[in-house]
Amino acid sequence: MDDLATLVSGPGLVLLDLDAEDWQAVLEAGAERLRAGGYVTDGYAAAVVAREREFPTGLQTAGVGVALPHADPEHVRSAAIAVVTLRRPVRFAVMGDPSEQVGVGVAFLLALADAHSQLRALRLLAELVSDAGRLQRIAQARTPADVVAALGRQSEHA
Amino acid sequence: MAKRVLIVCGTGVATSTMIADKVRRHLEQRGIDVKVDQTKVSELHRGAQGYDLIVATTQVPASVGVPVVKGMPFLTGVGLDAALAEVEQKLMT
Repeated sequence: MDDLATLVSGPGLVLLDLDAEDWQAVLEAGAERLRAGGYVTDGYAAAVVAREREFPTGLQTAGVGVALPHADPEHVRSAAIAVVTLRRPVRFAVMGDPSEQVGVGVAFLLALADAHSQLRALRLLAELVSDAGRLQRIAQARTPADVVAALGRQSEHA
Repeated sequence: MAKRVLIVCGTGVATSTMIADKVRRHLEQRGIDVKVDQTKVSELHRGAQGYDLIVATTQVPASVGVPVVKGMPFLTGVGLDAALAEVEQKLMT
């Protein structure tokens, strides 16, 4: 099923090849796409930056570094994920290890109303994060449709 | 009797939901029967009584008194074998 691809399919939710100075710029750019699409409130951007500062979401995968910024559900109007690919790696602090940093190539900004209604999407996202091949396809995507297609593809591995 | 594992993340339940399923499936594949719950770190002030293990994607205070394993390998796959070995070792002692 395409739950993950559907969450990214709204217009403007895929921002490719962003040239960002720092992680705040990445989050602000992605948050603006979610706000413009009506998926989140005006408060989401500040909330996601504050959360990232306190509980960082950078992850060193087997392939490209990713970040999974998100905020509390009170800022979410309807579920969506903004995908931001970066022209050059941007340093994020590492989830669970804030003294460590990782160069991130793809950020997935999650606007999820509550985890239980988005269970399948979250599980698919977890599979994606451990799939270096699909992450690489997303990092190198030239069009939003490429990203949506990569998200909709199940891993070949069980 | 099933072992009880608590998945802990920073805020909300997005990260812990992502790994809860993976943790459960991996342990069951290893023949370890588990019951998996989720919470966020701010809820841990109540303690973690009754849990045999915590798998966390955030730092957890030592005062919680339950063994802790880092959860990020369940998300990324990097270091997963070592993390599983650590989970098994801490659950079975």
